[in-house]
Amino acid sequence: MRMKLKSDETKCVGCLLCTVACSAKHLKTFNPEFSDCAVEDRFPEPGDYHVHHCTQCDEHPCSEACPEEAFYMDDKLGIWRIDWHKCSGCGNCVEVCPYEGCWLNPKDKSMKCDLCDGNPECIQVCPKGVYELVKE
Amino acid sequence: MTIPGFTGKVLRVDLTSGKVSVEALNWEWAEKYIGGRGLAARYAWQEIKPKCDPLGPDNVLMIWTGPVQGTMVPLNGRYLFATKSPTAGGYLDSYVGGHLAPELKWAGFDGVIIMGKSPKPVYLFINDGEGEIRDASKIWGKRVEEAQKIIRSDLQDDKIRVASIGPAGEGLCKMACISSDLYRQAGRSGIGAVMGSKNLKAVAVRGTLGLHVPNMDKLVEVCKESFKVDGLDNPDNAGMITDGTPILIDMSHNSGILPTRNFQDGTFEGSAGINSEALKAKVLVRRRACFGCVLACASFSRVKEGRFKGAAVEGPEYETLALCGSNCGVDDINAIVMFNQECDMLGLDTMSTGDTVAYAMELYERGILTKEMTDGLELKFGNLDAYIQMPDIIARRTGNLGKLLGDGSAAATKKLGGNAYRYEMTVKNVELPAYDPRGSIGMALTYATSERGADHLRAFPVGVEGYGNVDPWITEGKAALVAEDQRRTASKWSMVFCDFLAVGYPSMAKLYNAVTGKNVDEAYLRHAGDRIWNLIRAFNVREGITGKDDVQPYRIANDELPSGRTKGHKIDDKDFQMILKEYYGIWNWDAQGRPTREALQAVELDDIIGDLDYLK
Repeated sequence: MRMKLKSDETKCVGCLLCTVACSAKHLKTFNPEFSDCAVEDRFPEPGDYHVHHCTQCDEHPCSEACPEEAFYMDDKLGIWRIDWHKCSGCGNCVEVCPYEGCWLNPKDKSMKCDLCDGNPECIQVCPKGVYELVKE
Repeated sequence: MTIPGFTGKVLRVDLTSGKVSVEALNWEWAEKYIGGRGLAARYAWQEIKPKCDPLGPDNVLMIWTGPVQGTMVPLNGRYLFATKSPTAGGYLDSYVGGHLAPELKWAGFDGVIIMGKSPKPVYLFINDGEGEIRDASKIWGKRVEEAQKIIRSDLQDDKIRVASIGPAGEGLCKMACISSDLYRQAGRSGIGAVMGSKNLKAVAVRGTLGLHVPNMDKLVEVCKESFKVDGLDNPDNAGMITDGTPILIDMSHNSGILPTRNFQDGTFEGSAGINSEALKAKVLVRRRACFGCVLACASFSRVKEGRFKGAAVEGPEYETLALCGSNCGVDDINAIVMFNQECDMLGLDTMSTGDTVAYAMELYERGILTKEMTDGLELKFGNLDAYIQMPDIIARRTGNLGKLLGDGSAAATKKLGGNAYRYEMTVKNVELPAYDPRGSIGMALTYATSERGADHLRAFPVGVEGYGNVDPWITEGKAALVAEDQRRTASKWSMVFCDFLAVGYPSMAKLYNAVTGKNVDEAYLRHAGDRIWNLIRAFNVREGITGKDDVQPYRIANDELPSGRTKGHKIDDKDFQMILKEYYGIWNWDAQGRPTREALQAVELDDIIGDLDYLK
């Protein structure tokens, strides 16, 4: 079994509640800079929102590219997670991710969704149903 | 003392000397005045020199947030600018949504105090605990979208939030607004002119510090419940979620209070061209939300075809659809989107601009304005060729017409003399919102007693008189209705909640307590509302604004509406004076509308009594 986070960005209204809920859950702060999801606001052209987060893809090039072996498999959820104690902030994972699903925070640690142990905060707070948890 | 939710820091900027410093928040005031509106008013009392020129260096322009901004509390994405008004002449605060409010908190500040006048055009960059005055020679003269683009490119960060004036504010137009995140406006009473008078083009904010409160888990839990109870599942919000404010066009038309052709009528034969259905069918691209909002009432719109193709705006909101639509005799939503876009990007308040264009159209049709005075424009109601040029003419004061209208309706009346005053729709030199008081007598009292000029956001009796079951013409109970709502908004705007968060005092107290860890109740918030309303009234009295200025426009008192539900109605001055007198009694103000010593003492405002000459 593997869990994945999917999003339908056409439903997004740009309230950013997902981002502050994420940082509050993981780091006890309201701060989109430390969120595992991000919303890019693109107005007036093309006039839409672009939602970024780790999709828990099959290829997981992030873990392959990490020189510190900071990525590890969470067997319960079937996903790759990152150990910040090992992350050196080199940015290799960011470069190789084809989905723009991880990035470095201001303290140079890689931000990557961990699915909140199977009950993602973003899903709980999103007023428009952008996010969905899929089990494979 | 500290209060969770606040950062505890205020940025002070002296544009004359170029000095920027960080100081501690006055915690005593933060507790006594909640935040936002209350805190801004108390700082204004101290910082703004009495009787100063609003467009001179002694005036102070402030930015304020409250305890809940930057948290997950629903509908908290608002902040305010506060200053002395260049139009109404008293205390002025103007609120705006979008995403700059949380950014300021995450940059480490509760408020910003901007003093003096820069010798040359500058903008202020606020970034993680610091402020920097930067050269604005490249952006002075630019439209709002261009200014934001250049600032972000200059600082190489697309996440920077920008609040900027356009050419209107630079030229000290008294209908100038401050545009935030391009499409959100601190619109009213000419606040953009104050920014322009300081040679300050923009405020740019970037914050990566975040915000933390002691009991995060409890706060998140309270917020999740509030998203549903006060937001998504609250029946009061249903229309805001499906339609946003444009839903009011049909409601106002049916109630006979939709301003039409400069308030000559309360119903509009072309209302189907500018209502929510027209917006959704013709121009709506998608819904947008301010930070932390579960409703997402805003419409991002783009004109798809015809002569205005490509015009895009977040909106138009109800006030714009009515005052720039029916009030100008315009039934084409595409034209309104274009007009709205031009106002936003030139930095003009659509409400005052719409009313002023409507006023000029009536003057032209009545022959008070000649073709020479309009520089050849056929300025008739509904003439799109003339209409669409008006924002640019006004913002840049182009030609005879621009010079006449650049400072708004009231200033134009003074220049014209004669009978023009009969058609001027203002109170305290500020143009009326889009609810004709002849179908809601409570709104006449609201407009008259709002501190920043005619205003629908200090009380909203039209909610029950125009759209509800309360008789809109009887005088009984209306003074109390208005006073109670002014108390409520004084409290709610001090937390800087959006108008559309459907909360009464108990829910407000719950959210305030969850952030601050305090244990305040309904009585506490009501009492704070009383204190703040009295403080703001006292500010105006100190500036010489009293009961003599609490008036209604000539037309409202003298001209009967010709159609619909309000047909045959006007508001007789004797009725108006009666509820005004009753209103002063409710607040324990004197016959001139000035707070008595006892009224101020009852709300612990003893510290300002010594500054009021009439109480000596």
